[in-house]
Amino acid sequence: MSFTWPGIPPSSTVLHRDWARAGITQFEAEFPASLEGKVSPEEFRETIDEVNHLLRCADNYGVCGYLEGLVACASFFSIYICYEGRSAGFARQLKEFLKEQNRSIYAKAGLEWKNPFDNGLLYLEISEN
Amino acid sequence: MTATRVYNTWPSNNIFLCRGRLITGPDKRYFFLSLSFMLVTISFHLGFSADYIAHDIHPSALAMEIWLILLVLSSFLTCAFMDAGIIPRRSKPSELDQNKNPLAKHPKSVKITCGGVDMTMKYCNTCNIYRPPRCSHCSVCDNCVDKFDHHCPWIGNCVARRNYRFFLTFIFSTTTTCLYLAAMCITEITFRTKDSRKEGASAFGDALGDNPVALLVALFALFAASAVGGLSLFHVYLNCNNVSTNEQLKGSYKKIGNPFWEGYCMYMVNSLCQSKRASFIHPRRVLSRMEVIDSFDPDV
Repeated sequence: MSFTWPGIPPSSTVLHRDWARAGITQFEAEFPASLEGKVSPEEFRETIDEVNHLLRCADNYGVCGYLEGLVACASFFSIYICYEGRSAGFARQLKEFLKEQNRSIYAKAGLEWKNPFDNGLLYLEISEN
Repeated sequence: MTATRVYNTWPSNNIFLCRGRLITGPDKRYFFLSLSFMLVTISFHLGFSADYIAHDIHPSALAMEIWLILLVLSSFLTCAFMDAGIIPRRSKPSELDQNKNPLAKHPKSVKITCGGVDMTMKYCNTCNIYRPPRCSHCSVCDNCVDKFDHHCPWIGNCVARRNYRFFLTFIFSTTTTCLYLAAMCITEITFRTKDSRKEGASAFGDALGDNPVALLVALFALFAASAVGGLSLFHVYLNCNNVSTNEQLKGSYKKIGNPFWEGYCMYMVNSLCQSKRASFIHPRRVLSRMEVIDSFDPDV
């Protein structure tokens, strides 16, 4: 990608959206050159694959999603007072996964993966502390 | 001292209620108008006809009516006070960021290939982001919104990715409820006319005298059903074509093809039954001291 997102410090690595499949949110999984020497490609691969997996689950229309839709309609949407929603649940799992990965693997290298939901799923920022 | 939260320093035109728990658009005049239409019609109908429907037609008819009314009101309120899919605004890029050469680093638009179709992401000068496909800037709320459909003045909020489903439920259930209400009122007038001991026009007059409101409710409900029903049919057409209102009006995919195609029926099923998505904004997040200071700076 030849463009940069405004407002991001130049030391951060940015993973752009992978638009190959239009309806599903995915990020590019290529190991960025700026992370060479800081983390191993295997660790990076594990993290990005899990991130993409959780995003796929959040966007997927499965039987559970349809069931949630029907139950919500039958309950006049009152289930959403106490239940966050299946898709939102995957977003929360992603946030917790990134927090755990940052703590266990990336903090040592001085890196931090920012939650892509906080910027509107536009890009995935790996900032340098 | 109370903490400053994100909604206290919100830059666009949205209104926040319940201390940031509910979010809606800026102009609520038509919202109150549509809410009062609904409540007045429902209260007049139930006040005058509920007893008759329960005893002389069937109690399950009244139960069905109440179920439909609750569905209409719940989907209306959920759609009106929900974050539609607002993409958070970024701070304006400073001159240092742009290396004193703004256009080179942040061009006005960027080309991408989405699902095999070439598309452009345009730069939004208000929100300082490149708008992804299907995202549009709502001029009423002054936000970029993800999978923007339209800004509905009667609801007073944008209809977009997160609340399109509640909007569809609202318009379909309103059409059904209006037709059902009209049918109930007409049935009531017919039964009352038959039960009357008089003949012809005076029997009809008697029926109207017993329940003066039924005919008015029936006429209003039929008028509302035709209006909202027309909108419902339009949205059925949009869903069969797998486009949003915004894309239909702009003719976005006429020449390039639609990469978001899911199927003639599946798109509608997915739109209606999809699970509730996560929000990108956190209005109740407490701001740090630096963020509070930055929020007062017009250049940031």
